[in-house]
Amino acid sequence: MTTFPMTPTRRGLLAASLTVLLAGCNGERLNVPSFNDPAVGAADRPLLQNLASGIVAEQRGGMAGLISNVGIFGRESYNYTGSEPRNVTFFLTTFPLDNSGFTNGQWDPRFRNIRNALNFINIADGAAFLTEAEKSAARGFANTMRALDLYYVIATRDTLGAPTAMDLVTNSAQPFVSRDSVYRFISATLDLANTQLQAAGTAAFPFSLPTGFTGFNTPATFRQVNRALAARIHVYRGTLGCGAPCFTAALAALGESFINSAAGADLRRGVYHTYSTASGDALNSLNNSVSPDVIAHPGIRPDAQLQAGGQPDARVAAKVRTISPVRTAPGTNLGIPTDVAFSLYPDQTTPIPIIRNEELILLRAEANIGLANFGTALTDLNYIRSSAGGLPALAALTDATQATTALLYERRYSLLFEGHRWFDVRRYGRITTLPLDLPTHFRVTVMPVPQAECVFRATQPAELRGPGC
Amino acid sequence: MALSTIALAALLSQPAEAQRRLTGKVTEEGSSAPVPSATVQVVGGTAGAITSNAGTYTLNAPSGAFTLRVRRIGYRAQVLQISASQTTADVALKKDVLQLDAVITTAQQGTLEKKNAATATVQVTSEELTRVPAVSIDQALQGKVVGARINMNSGAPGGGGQIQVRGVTSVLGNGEPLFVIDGVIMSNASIAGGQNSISRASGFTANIASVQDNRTNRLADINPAEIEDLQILKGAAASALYGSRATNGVVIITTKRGKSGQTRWNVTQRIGQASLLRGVGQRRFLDTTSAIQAGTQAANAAIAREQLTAALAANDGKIPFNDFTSQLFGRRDASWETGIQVTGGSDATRFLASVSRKLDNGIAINTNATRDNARINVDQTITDRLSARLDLGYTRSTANRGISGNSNTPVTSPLYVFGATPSFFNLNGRDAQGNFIVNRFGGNANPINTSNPFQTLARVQNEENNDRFIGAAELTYQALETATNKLRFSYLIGVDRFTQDNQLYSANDLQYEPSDGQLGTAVQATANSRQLNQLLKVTHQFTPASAPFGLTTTAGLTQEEQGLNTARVRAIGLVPGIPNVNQGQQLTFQSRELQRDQAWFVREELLGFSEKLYVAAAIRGDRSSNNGDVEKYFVFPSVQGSYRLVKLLPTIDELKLRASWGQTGNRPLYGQRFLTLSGNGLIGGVNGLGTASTLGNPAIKPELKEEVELGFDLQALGGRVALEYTYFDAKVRDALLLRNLPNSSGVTTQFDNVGQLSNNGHEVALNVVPVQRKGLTWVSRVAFQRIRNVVEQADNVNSFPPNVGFGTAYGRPRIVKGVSTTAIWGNRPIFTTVNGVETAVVRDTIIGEGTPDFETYFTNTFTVGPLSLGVQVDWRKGGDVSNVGQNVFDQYRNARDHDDASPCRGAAITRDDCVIVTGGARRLVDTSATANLGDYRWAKWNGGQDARVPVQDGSFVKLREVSLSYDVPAAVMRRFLVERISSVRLSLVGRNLAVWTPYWGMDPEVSNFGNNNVGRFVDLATFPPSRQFFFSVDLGF
Repeated sequence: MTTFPMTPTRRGLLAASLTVLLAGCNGERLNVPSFNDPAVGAADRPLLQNLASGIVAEQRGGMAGLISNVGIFGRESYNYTGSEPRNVTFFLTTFPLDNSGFTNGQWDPRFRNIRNALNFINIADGAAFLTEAEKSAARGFANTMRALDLYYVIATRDTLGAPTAMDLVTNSAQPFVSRDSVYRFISATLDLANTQLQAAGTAAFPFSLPTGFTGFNTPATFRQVNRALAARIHVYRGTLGCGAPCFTAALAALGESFINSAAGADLRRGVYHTYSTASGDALNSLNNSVSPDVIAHPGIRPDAQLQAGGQPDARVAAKVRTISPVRTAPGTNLGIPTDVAFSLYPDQTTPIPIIRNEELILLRAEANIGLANFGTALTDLNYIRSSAGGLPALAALTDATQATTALLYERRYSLLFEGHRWFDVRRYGRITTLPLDLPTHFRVTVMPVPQAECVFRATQPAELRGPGC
Repeated sequence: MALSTIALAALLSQPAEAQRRLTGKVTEEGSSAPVPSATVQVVGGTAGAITSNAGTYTLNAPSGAFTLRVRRIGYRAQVLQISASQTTADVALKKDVLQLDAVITTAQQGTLEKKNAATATVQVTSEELTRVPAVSIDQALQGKVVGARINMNSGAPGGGGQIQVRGVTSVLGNGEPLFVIDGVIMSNASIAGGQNSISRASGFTANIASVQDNRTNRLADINPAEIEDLQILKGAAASALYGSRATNGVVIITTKRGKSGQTRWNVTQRIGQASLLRGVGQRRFLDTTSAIQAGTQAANAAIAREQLTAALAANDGKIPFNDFTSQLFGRRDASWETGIQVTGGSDATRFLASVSRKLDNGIAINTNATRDNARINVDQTITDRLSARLDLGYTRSTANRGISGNSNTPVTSPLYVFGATPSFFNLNGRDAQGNFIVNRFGGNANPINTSNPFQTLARVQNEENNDRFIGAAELTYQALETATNKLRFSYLIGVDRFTQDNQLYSANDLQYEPSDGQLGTAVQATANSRQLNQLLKVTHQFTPASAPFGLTTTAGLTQEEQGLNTARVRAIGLVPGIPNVNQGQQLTFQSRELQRDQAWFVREELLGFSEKLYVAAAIRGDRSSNNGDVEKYFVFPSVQGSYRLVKLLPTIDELKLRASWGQTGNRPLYGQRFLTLSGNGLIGGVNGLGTASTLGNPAIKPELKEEVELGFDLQALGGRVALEYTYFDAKVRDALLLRNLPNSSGVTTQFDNVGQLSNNGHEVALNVVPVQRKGLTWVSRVAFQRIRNVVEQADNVNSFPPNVGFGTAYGRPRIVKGVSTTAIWGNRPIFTTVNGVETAVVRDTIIGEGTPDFETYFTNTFTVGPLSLGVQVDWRKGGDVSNVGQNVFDQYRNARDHDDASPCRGAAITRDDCVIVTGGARRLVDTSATANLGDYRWAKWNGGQDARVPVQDGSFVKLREVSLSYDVPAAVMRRFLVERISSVRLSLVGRNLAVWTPYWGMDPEVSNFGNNNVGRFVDLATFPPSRQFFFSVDLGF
């Protein structure tokens, strides 16, 4: 049998194979979509809402970490996780700080959020479904948020400086600029946002904000937050060399913020990051039941001043509590025992402040001290001492050094465990006022730039390699 | 009319030549026992038969002289010349103890005799797989596959193992072999079940499950008893026909099939038990001071004193000692397995049916695994030309694997808690009410942050249920069949579908439950996997009468689809006693993936010159939905050749030289091509979206492996000696890595084909039959493998593979150009002296190597009449392990050898092993005459500044398998048993009976991070290894 006649069966088989062949060539079947994440691209109003919420969520994501990290550096808190002694060693005994983990935070997510904000602005700019006023409102919101993110970067990196530019297309490295330039860039961004929020007029934001922004969720009211943040930056700049012009600018910004030092004013009024037990939402990980190993430095109690009746500063009782049994460091010679834990975030969903009235009053006092307006400053300090701490009034502020000491005491207790003390003592060159609990401990002045950033920059032209790395 | 049709049909089916009948009997040489199921085939013709239970056969033979080939798995094939007048031919087959005559798989479903194979292919027989029961096929394969590293992740029942063929071939892509069972591409996914919600190994808030969940890989669903033969294609040329899924090797599983003739039953019953192979021990306190010191470390001084006082009072003033590991993992409940197989059928319809049920009880309370398998394989000859097969396989596997591995606050993993609990504390005791006592140690003096493992394992449910169907249907049409031309079409469709269901429940009253502020934890996780593949193939065999060779051309099309949908829900804050997740605070998670592939292939094979020369070339084009360009076919060519030098010297039967070259691919993973936004959490009831920290890459393509393999196979002394040697050298180009972007750009990395890896190695197997006489056969095998993998190119990439290792303090993998892919990197002090001034720094550098120097497997089988003894010993030299578990014991001063002498007693400052770095200078650790070992290790580790302390040598010698079996002789059976029973075998077998190792931990082969490509060296609070004994009875009738 050497021929190969086409019997019906054979024809059928060939036809079947051709069918499969054709099916096989159908490349359309291979266009499988992304099921788990939405593609970058087109926008509509609902997506704009998700992106706006994403900016707030990303910023919230770094908040508890910031406070607990700078809390350890500023001797406010410890993390005594039994199974993870590196929460002690990598913050207090290992010098220099490890730039590959644990102590390299407040970098990647902050820049990611700056990118989120820039993306958001690009999308808003091109959105046909927004009015001009809404676009302006959206820009003002995003610029304020990205300025705040950059503040967290430079506050933790300080003298290392940071890059301020970003290229969303090439993703290329941008040069480090000095601390001063970064702060000036933040001021300028906040001022730009201020203008944009003003330009929005009475329009509403084309998205809603979480409840932590209640009272500040329109362009007009959000502008008060923008000015409050601008004041904080001006005051920082004032203490870092700018001096009087910045302190003056701070006072001006405070004037447009939500500062209120009337009798009985709500010191807690401000903007907050909010938490929820809803599925997919986040809990406040500074809460004691969420993070039982995040506890307080025992120095909080003895350092507190006494009220007239002999009981300690009311802020101590309001913010910390005694725990039993005493907590010890997770390893030999790592840390000292403490029986103090924080109670200022009593629930798993207690909000964490971004900026609030009590800080604004202290910022005004600080700006006035910087301008040597000691009398005005004394009024604000005594207002806080009395209303927050139940403490007797100070008689007078005599000189800058004494006034600063008084100011830093109030800032320490008023803003306890809200992420300020380490920055404050560093700004004033008073890092050595932080206690060394054990001879093996040391004091940190900057958090390192992540190893990954530096490894990448090492491959770049010389001008991009440093100075932060 | 009807008559003429029948006549015509008869005429058509009538071969050209007249026929005669040939009968005979096939027996085993030496014993003269009949050999059933042997294939008797006319060479070059279609006539054939299969021998009966009595070894007899009858076939319709062509007229004239011809050649008859008789073969049977396990015997050397025999070729006879039959003269034109002959009507009977008896054959005696010699046992093929060295498997020289096996048949291997080449092209998808194509076969080739092993003697001609041009690549080193490992074949494992049914007998080798099932001789000693194993928790899963991975375990059964340990030590049997030269060229692969096969490790179990832990000692938990139910499986969880990894096969890595010829080194690390991918960092971010799939790194495991492709598994094909009867032509069905099957999933070997390892899907996390949610243990993380109890152990919190990878954090709690954002993760329900994690890679540290002690996952089982789904190879565990396959019943080894259903397997006829398992082959591992290692080199690129061998696996090239699996295209862009073949860089990691291909494991081809062939299940048993029916044979015509008398229906044969086989029943296997096994019973046995598992016991702790090697515990970790506890420190025995010699005085109350040290006991209080240790207790203080894990709680505080007050609790330590109080608990020690109570313990002393309850033990006549002596310090009690509890070896917690032996207590908790001391269970020895019976395990058993029952299997029934039946084969038979007519010439037209042949079937195999198999059912089995297996229960493996773990060595801790509430830990076990079961597997039920059912399979029906049917072969049908529809017409002379058309045949079909239908295979239906069903599996139901369950596993209760307890809690083990890494753990964070609250600490719930038993071995972790044991590390923190001083041995004087009676953890396994009960209080006055009969409840488990509250563990006071390990939670920083707060009991809700620690746990009592005796309570945890007794009460926590961590149950995995898996239902799986694997089925195949194949239709083969022999379109043409002449002496010179054979043309065959076949179409195969395979389906693999499973649903893995994990349920985890931690009741409200467990010690650690209040830790998160909510009582009770429940997880419900479901994974649905569905895979489908189709293969259309045409084979043309051309054997010209005039030419001294034959050609085989195979061409085909394949289409594959794999979908996986994983959904998990966790609830905390439960209604007491109710494990439902629709209560309390919930967290949900879902992930879907779907991938489709299409490919074409052509293979040309030449076999000729008295079957001495074999050359094959193949090419395959693949495209996949996972590639950036889904339309583009990526082409993978291969060539291979072998030449047999027969009777080279009087003592050398044959020397085969072989060489091959090939390319294969490894397609990207699902999702790596997409540019997406990433969800960053719910806030104020709205889903937040933002930049994904890793960018997808729309230009992503498969990793490309190019491999050269050279080797020889030598047979000498009449088949008594066989030596196989293979050298391979592979390069993986376009390796998928995460290309770095500056983090300050807001994105940190992007998937890209920017890496290059290289692997090379030597594989040697020496098979010897030192003794083969009537009463005794001794078969000895030594297999040796040495694999080296190096990163050739990894510039500016994220060098840290995701989800493996605990960082610089404990050792971790790192992908660095010019360095071993499996090097272990970690901190160590480095001292440098410049101008007489020494500076000391702590650097992240290479401190170990995960790949062993070599692995050697020794297998010896002694057969004396009906008695057979098999012993397998595995020896691994090198292969470092990150012993994080020891670090936990040292942290709390509870290591069993804590009180041994420190090596630094009396040491000088110049001894680098006795100094640590403080403030940039060296400082001695405790060198006093009482300095002890536990404190020395802890001090030397120095909070993670010297990771050489936990990174330790993992060399071992394991007595992997011992089997003693007795085939009851026919005479005895006739006297005592029913006539119909044709064979009875009794066996006593054991697995992992002993281990000899300098390693401090329980087992150097484990992996805290489960199956992964490069980080298989972390040992932390692993489920302890067990030794297993089984007694089996096999009945055939």
